[in-house]
Amino acid sequence: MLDFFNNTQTIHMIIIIGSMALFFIGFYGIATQKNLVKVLVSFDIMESALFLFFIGLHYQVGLVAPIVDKNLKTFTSMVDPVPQAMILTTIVIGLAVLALGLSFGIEYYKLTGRNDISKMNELRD
Amino acid sequence: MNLKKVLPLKHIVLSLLSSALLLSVVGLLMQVKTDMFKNVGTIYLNLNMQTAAANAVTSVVTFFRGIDTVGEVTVLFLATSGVALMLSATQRTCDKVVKQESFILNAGSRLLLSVIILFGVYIIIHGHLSPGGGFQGGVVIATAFLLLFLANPNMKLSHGILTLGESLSGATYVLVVIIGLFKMNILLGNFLPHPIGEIGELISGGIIPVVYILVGIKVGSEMSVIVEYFVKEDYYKEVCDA
Amino acid sequence: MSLGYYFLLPVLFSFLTPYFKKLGSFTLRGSSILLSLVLFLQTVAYVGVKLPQISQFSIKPPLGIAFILDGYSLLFLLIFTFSALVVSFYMYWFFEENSGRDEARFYVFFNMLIAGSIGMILSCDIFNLYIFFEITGICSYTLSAFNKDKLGLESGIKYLIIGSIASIFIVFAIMLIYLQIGTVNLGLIAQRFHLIDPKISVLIVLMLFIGFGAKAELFPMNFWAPDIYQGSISSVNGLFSSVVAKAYLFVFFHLFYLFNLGSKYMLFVMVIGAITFLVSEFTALNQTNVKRLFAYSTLGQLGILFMALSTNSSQTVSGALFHLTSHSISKLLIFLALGILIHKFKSAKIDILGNFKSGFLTIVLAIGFLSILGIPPFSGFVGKILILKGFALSQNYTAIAFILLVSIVEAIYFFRLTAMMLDKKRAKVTVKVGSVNYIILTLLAVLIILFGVYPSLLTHYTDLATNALLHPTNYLNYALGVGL
Repeated sequence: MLDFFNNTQTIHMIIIIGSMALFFIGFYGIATQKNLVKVLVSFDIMESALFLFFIGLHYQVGLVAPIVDKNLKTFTSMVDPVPQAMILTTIVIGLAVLALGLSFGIEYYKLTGRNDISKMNELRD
Repeated sequence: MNLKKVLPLKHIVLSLLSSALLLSVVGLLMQVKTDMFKNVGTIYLNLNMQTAAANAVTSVVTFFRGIDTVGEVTVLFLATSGVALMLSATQRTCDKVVKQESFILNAGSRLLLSVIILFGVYIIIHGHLSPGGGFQGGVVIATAFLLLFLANPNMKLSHGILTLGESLSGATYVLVVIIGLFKMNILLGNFLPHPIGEIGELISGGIIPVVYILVGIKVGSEMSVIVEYFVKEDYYKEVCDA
Repeated sequence: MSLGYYFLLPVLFSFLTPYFKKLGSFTLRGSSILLSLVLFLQTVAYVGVKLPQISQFSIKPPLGIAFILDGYSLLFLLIFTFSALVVSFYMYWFFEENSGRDEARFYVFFNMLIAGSIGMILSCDIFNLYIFFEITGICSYTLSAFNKDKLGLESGIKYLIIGSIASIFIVFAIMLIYLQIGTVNLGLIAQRFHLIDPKISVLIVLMLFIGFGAKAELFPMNFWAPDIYQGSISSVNGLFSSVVAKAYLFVFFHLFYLFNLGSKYMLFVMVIGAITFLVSEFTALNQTNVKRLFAYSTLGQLGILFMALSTNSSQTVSGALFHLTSHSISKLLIFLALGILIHKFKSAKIDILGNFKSGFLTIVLAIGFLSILGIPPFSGFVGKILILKGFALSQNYTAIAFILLVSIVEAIYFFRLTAMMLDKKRAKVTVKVGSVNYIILTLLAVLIILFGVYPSLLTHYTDLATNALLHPTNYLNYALGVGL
């Protein structure tokens, strides 16, 4: 049974299904939720799904983290470091946008007492 | 219980739509990873011995794709400035002090502060040897301050020191990028000595640990500022508006 | 000077801003003007130099990231640095009049907005481009919320939500590209793009289209744009219209021609552009807020540009780039002049255009209106004529008839505005224009007339840009690191 899971194809399939399910949970959240905080959290869920998808698909059975130490002297049979570096960057950007969005929301709530994005319609003719 | 109230029609339609999209996208992505071409990451791994950093992710983040990290640090800086622009005006007007919660809680959090900060510093300076680095360590340092704020609501950070640390580390980072142009004739060149034999030592990798330490100082101070603004928002609402 | 300074100098300035602030507001404003001046002069120095120019980071491309300046990006670089210089002079006046604002933070976001836009047009790596996209995004969200009133915050939140959707799609597209061809270098992607599995390729193009199209204010995704223009201050509107929207448009067509999507998707982009033009001009007809009105007008002009730039014929594209330059200058002029009026009347209703008395402002605003409408001898006329000529050469008479018909709608509201300004019966309030504003508005108006009377001053650069856009061989060689 465990051999079945110790197979790159299977792992990739599970990761694609799981991460895309998470992605569309976030999509559903954006489409249905009206609370600004919930919308921002939905964005974060979608981003996390993408991180999982990208990192997961670059894992293959038998590869290790790209770090050398006493036992491992050369950079061979290691996973691709570029996706990890890109995801690190994207995580920080997502965090920055989330913090900014929350601070906008707090300030808006102080002024109006509302955090419902469907009622933000004062900008009109 | 009225089903229509719990689950409006719009939600049902949208969840069905999401599921349909999910199925089609999953089907499309099943064969998305190809080995048609050699990934650029494999080439970086082959070249990585030359940078003398034991952690290949770190050398990609700070050296091979280093300008990404400059941009990333800038994004975080801009977000901090935005948060400060939004929340600072209301927070400067109140000077009320609340009664201390509990002596043990306060003393315990102070005791833990030094340990957590030490752990953060360890993660930062071992960024080129082990998993971790400037961003992760900086966030760990910010959690130490979060603990302090939760234990003692009267706590205030010295913005002068934080701004100094943030500005100086940021400016030094940009200067490190520019010095590479003069020493190595390429921006962000690794101009410090980085002999391959030293791989795995604490001082190795040339500018790579230097960059991660600067990033660590900057991220630590910025995240502490963001945490302070958000925690204090609650505090001012309860104490000053009452 | 290395191209990297276009990004590094503004970053250095922003990091050190708290200390400029301590030296007083004069130093702060002066140093920002100095920074814009240095970048503008540096760009002028690139005119006539052999292009493309390259500046590498860490390691030679295609492994490392590089900034590449070719003819196409040079034209945009000139527009961006010039707009930045003009706006930084204008902000000197703005902060003299509105003291008590958070000046230092404004300058941080303003300079990084320009630096992010410049980074997007210079970078030859799609992930690096995404980071500049986010820098520009964060600066625009904060600048549109800069007023910190209800309207400003609402526009900031709306912009942030749209921007997050766009960035998720772009990240997804970049991930799919990396999974398929194992690199994020634009040169290598361009070389290998046709080898991608066709189904995935459609998905990638769709995601990039949604991401960059939403930010470049294309039709189905542009309902948010007028709201954001209405909520922000008018100098920021000028920047959104003449710099930020143009930067997204640059990236859109840069990728469009690099990945060679012209044959498959040309008609699609053209129809979307036409719909954008039609809907925006008709909606603009019954607006009562000047900022919204000119936001819709900007969307309409972007629609024409999308129609003309997707044609893959060098005359039309060259005309479109001329029109783009002319539109940037005119919209900057209009928004800066409107800023003076809005400051005076504390209102953005359309009536303020009829209620002011100032010969100078009437003249410059009329020049701006007539130039966008395309009346000789102003530069907008030349731009539109060149686009129509290009369509005539490729025998696309439907497009010509369409543009001319919709331009009649445009003419209705622009003539109405001009008539309102010249109406002598209305109660008039004298508006004074400061000396700094006098100089910059005159400069912009003179440029509009100059390009209208002597189009050859500009057509040389638009031809260079067209050549670089449609035949990017040199760009690709540099992006692939051939011969470095």
